[in-house]
Amino acid sequence: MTIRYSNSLDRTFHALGDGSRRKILAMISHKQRCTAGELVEQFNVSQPTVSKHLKVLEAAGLIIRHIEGRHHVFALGVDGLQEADDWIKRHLAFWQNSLDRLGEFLDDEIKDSQ
Amino acid sequence: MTARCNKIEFIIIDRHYKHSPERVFEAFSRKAAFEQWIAPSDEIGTRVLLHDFKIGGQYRIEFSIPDSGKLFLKGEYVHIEQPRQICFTWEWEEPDVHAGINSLVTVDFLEHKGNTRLTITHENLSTLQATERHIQGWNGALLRLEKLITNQPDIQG
Repeated sequence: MTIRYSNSLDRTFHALGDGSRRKILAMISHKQRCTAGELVEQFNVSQPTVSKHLKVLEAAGLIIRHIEGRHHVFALGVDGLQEADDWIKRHLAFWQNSLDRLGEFLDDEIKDSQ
Repeated sequence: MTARCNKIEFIIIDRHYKHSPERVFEAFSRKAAFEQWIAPSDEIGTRVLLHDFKIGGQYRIEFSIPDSGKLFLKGEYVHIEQPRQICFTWEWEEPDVHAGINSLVTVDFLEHKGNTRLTITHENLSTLQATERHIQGWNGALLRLEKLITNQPDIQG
């Protein structure tokens, strides 16, 4: 799936458009603060993969990085989320979910006719 | 093409379905089919109250959201080209928070080896002058669709 936007929300939505990144964001939101190591452990993925996702989220302003000694600690950054326009967020969610359901509907229709 | 630069916000979403464009198109054009999937969640009850699927025809949909009442969506079919494209206006009714915001949805069905690449372009037209907005939105959608096709040779699921 490819999503494109006309305005400065590009990065925010690109960041939110990936399932792994949404999970990472949800975990940071839930725990309030999280180290990269904890995320690697939680999601059972490689350090470079997590680092890549964290960089995308950071660039979008969705998370903030603090360096504490040897640890990089991440917390939710509210700017990115607040900037996202309500109308766009709502309709993006609407279509993503409806189009998923369209796929299920089409698949079921085929099964039913077999 | 005469699309002018304007400030409309828009969303473009691509999906790939393992079904022919005719079949995917029918999921929009047939009322009973449309009603099955247009809500964003299984929890939301959907009734398509009006579905006059022709150019200039109106549609109206009632969504029943658990514990928070009903929402009504309405619009008009601006362009229909079976099985390639459907273009319709989109407006939430009062008292919805986005009531009165006119937007335009363009659905493109591209055939690829028997499958369909579906592209939804949803444009918020609220910032444009009423007399110009449909023409501009339409041209804009076409221009961007052209760019999208040119820039993205690969089908992505």
